[in-house]
Amino acid sequence: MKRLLHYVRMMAVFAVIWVILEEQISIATVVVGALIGLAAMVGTDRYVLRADYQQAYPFGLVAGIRYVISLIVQIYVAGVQALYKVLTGTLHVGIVDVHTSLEHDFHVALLANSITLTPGTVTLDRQGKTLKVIWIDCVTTDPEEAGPLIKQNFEQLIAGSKR
Amino acid sequence: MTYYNMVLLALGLLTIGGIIRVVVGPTIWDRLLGLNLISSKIIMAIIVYALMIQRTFLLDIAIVYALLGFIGSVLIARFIERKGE
Amino acid sequence: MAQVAALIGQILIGIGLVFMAAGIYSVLRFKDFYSRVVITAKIDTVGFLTLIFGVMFIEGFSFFTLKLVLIVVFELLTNPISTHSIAHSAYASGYKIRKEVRVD
Repeated sequence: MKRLLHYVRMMAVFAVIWVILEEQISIATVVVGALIGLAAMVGTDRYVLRADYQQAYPFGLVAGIRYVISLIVQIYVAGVQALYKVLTGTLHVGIVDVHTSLEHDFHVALLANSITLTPGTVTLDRQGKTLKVIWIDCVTTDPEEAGPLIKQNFEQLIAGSKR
Repeated sequence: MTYYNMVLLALGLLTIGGIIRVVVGPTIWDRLLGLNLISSKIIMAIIVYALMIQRTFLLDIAIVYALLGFIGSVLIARFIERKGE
Repeated sequence: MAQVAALIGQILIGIGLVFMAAGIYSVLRFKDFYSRVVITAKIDTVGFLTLIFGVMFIEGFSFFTLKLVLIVVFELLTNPISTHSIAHSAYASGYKIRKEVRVD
């Protein structure tokens, strides 16, 4: 039952994307978009992923939108700071380890993506629950102190988005 | 000369900066970084041009270009990892 | 009203061009690969978003804007992955900070 509800919700999302790409709103485009979305989902579940979609990507739609908005705000804050650092030329680049408490693989990947997009940091490598991060102004190499400065509030946002 | 022409000219000049990094770049990863920059500039030029002539099909071309650039740079980066072994 | 929106959009496009110019300047100026990759990934994304928001302001609400929203979401997903894969490729091949390694 839950699986069927998930399919219907994702078909609605795919139908909206199809309507945007086709640039016309009619019953035919909505139906065709929903059918193509269903075919894509069934094909992915059966032949590519070989597992349940919801367990592989546990992320809600509403939580995703809220997460993207807070991500854009963080990107702008980081961008202005980085612009100031470029124009004054005060760089102090170093590599630090950051520990995370997230469990799921997909959530760790999402956290790494967010770190790459925001305050002067790029994720280099991952071993288990430890991420290696290049940091633009490396004030400390201690993982415990560097963690909150680099992760900001992304960890709570991602952990709170579980269904 | 309208505002959009000037924006397109500025994007072209910025692309030349990326090309300099691709030609000079001491390591192969510098060249790849320059290539990434150039592809994002080209996407933006396509978007500004679509706004200029008011045609939406150019945005489809921008989406396809973004897809191909992403796949290309990820594949090249994976390929040259540990010198191609 | 439409003219005010167009003016705001043109100012946003100008700000985006300034951010991108800073990105190109930093990629040409810094000596170390890691500082280049960190600075460039950030500033280029900010310039991209600002320019697209400017175009959205000029265009108003239409299919044009909705397609731009698709492009923004796609770019937010893929831009960090390509930056990460370039940086990871350099790291896995043994590039050290502030040390020129020549690969022929």
